[in-house]
Amino acid sequence: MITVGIDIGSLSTKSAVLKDKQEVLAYDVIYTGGNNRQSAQTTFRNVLDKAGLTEDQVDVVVTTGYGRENVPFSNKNFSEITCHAKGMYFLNPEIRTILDIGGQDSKAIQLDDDGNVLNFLMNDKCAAGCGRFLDIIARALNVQLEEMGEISLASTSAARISSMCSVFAETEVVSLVAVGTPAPDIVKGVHDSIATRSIALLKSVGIREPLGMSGGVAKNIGIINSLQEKLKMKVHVTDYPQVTGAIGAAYLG
Amino acid sequence: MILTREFKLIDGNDRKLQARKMRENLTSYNMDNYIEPSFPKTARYRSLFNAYYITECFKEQTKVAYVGEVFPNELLFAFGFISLNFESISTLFSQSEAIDMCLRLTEENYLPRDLCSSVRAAYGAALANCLPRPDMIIINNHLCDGLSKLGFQFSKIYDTVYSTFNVPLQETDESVAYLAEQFQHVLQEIEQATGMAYDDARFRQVIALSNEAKDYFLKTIDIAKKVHIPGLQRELYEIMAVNCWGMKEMVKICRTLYDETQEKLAAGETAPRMKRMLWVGLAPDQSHEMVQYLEHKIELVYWTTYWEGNLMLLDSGQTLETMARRSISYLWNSVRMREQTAYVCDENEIDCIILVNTWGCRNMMGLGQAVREMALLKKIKFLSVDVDIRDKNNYSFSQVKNRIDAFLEIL
Repeated sequence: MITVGIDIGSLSTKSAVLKDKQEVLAYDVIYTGGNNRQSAQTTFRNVLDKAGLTEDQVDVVVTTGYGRENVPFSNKNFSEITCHAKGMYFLNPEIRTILDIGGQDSKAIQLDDDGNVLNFLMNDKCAAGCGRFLDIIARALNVQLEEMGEISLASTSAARISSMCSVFAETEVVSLVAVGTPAPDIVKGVHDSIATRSIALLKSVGIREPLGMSGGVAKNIGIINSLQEKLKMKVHVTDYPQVTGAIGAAYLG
Repeated sequence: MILTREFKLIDGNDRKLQARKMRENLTSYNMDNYIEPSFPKTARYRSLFNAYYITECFKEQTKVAYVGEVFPNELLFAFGFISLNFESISTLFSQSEAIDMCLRLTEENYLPRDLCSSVRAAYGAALANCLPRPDMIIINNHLCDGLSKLGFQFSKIYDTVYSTFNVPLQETDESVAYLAEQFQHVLQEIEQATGMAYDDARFRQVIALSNEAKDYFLKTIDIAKKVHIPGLQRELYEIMAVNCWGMKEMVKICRTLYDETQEKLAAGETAPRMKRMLWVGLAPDQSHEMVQYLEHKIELVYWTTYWEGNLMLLDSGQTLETMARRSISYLWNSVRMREQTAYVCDENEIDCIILVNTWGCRNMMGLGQAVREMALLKKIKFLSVDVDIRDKNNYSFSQVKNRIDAFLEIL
């Protein structure tokens, strides 16, 4: 049985193909852009190409994410909370708490032994501490988003960055650059700021170990380090953090 | 500029002008989201009464008082007053596109967006000069200090009598006596403001009407707890929002709802039990997208309907004391919040709770933890969402829907 999961997020659209709900055949990540219906179509074609499959061979397509109800070829859809839970359960069934940092929202999800959601919390009102926040800071520092984790490892003294607002944080960063604060310290400060926010979210929902992290931000070693330093516990990251939701959607197919 | 340096309305404080402005502004009701009422007779009486009530407010000879939520309206009805509370004014405007105009006016006049939109909407309506000039403002200075300050500001705008009272947070014999004494004082202030003498016989009649209406209401609530009749919880909430206990029309509305409920029971017009979700916090009118979305998927039970302070009958022998007890028990504190929400959950076999934090309402945000802890103890699924039921600039349905969908999947 071939199932495809498509996760249409605010920043990126992800897809994954599962065979018999046991094996990840392929995955794909593209920018969502202004037309999420189109981006779903594009990533669907991409992931099938990568898996060497045709549309006729697909049994079920499941969508998730903000654009989940806007995909005509979707057979069913689930919220990304459920999909991240199932995706994490598929990738690492030991995990009992998930931190997912997406483009515009962060989620703390508590799981039961079967990968069902027991409880969850999401950020409200403000996207400070999310993927978009890192995106803005990377641009302000003129570095690549993907390099931020490595850059932060050279920090000797993290700068203090408020976590009030993504846009205002950019101003803060520009001010720090102006007074000669080294880029690694600024980036480390940004990571600490995100970690602090995320930990408040995690503690509100209750942390049951082991803790896993999903979402594109989980690929950032700087964030993982900040979280581990502050939590004093290991943060597990799977081989497919960015497509956990898409894998979960395919698993639910 | 809308106000003079002395806070007076520049274009005048005249009810004819205010009525015209109200008609001009309240032109576009959200008819697209209109829902056929499940209890047509009750809804018709209720709508007629609301229309009559608003029309009366603008008549020159009508005595109008603006009040806070916890003030016992029966005291005013005994003097022939019509009372308007600020929250109802905001709800009225939020059912039309006029709400945007009200909120825009407040921002143009230096009120921050972070202030509760219930307060802002009522203030905006005053700035648009489409509210009836009040003869008196009576407001509690606690818990909602925003409302208290708004009341004071209104007294300056309309150059009218401002009376305030303090509601203690805890219910003890001393605190009840303290508040009852203040109500006695308010009665004297009403006498002074209107030149009318307190009429004990009229007062007792109002109390009897208040209890009679509430008696029908309580009997209907007992049915609603046990059986799912589509639309009943919403109608109960709408009646609670009318909040005119003590007027004879309330008896008619509540009796009609009880009769219609009995008719539906007799005709077998009940529905299979759905999951029950308790809505904790301010609730919008039924045209609101969030309410409509949820009511298709779940049976919504409104916390306001079952809140002890809203349901208490008045003791005709100790009227002011029971009014005081009612006002105190209406207020939120963490212990009351936990205990009463737990009681409502037990009585209604609630499956899940949605805590609706209204943007800018510090009271609700500060007390949310008490509800969450209670839900945890009782193993009731709990979702907290930040919304703004009045100001669409402070809220995105797609964001909230995402959380609701995830929550419903857990259930």
